[in-house]
Amino acid sequence: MGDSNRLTLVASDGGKFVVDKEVVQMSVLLKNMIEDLGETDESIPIPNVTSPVLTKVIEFCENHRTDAARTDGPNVDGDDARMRTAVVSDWDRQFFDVDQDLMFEIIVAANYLDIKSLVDVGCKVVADMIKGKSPQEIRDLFDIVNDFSPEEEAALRKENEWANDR
Amino acid sequence: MTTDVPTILSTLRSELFTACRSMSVQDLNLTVSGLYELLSEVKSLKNQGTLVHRLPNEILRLIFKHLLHAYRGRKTGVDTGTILRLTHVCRRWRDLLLGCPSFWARTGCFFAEGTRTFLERSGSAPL
Repeated sequence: MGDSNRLTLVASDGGKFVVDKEVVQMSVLLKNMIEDLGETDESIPIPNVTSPVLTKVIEFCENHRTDAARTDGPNVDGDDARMRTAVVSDWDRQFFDVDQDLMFEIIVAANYLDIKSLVDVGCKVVADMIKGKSPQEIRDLFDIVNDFSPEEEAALRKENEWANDR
Repeated sequence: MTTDVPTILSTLRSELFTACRSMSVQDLNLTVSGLYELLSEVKSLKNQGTLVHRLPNEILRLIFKHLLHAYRGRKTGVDTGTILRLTHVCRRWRDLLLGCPSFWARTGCFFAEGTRTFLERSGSAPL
């Protein structure tokens, strides 16, 4: 019988991670799975998350393991309450100082695993990247191309006219 | 298997030019509009391959919410500018934002044409 306070997560590429249950339970998905499984030595497969991403997710959860209020508190006021409480610390900013590929994969994994605090911090970091930028600057940032038709472009220009005419 | 893009484009160009030679001006105008729309659709497909487009809609909505929340309570014009800028990035972002009446209900706008548009887009969301 292994350590009952720890369990093994298996990433999509087979990478194994032995993690404290307390840390794992920041994920609502995994918390529910653990409750359903009861005491078990079985490892838990995470089919949608690769090892590099799972490494980062675990790093975040270990750093925020004491922030119970941010993760387990009742979601009384939905997204708005989370918006008010979402705080991005210097550690969080450094945590997300990675290439865009990994950054978005972490957010998608956090959403899949239902780790609200990680989703919120990730979304806020992306929002900060966008803040104050023009549409073209946002496109350049994310390698998006302008896919509006000439008719749609005309409608956008009209919006710009009345937005500037105040 | 790789796609032979030059051959596809060459065939498309050849068949289109042949058809266009016998078209009326009205049909040529329709063809131009159709080609612009086709180009937009191809660009939208290209966008689907970008990293940010891998984010599900609920995550994009949350990012937009953070952006609009950051400006709430400040000068009206800033908030209005933010939501308009976001709708001008690409079709997916625009469709997503236009599909969220509550964003428009919470965004202040005090000029005639703009107010009408914001009210229309806020739908039945509480102001």
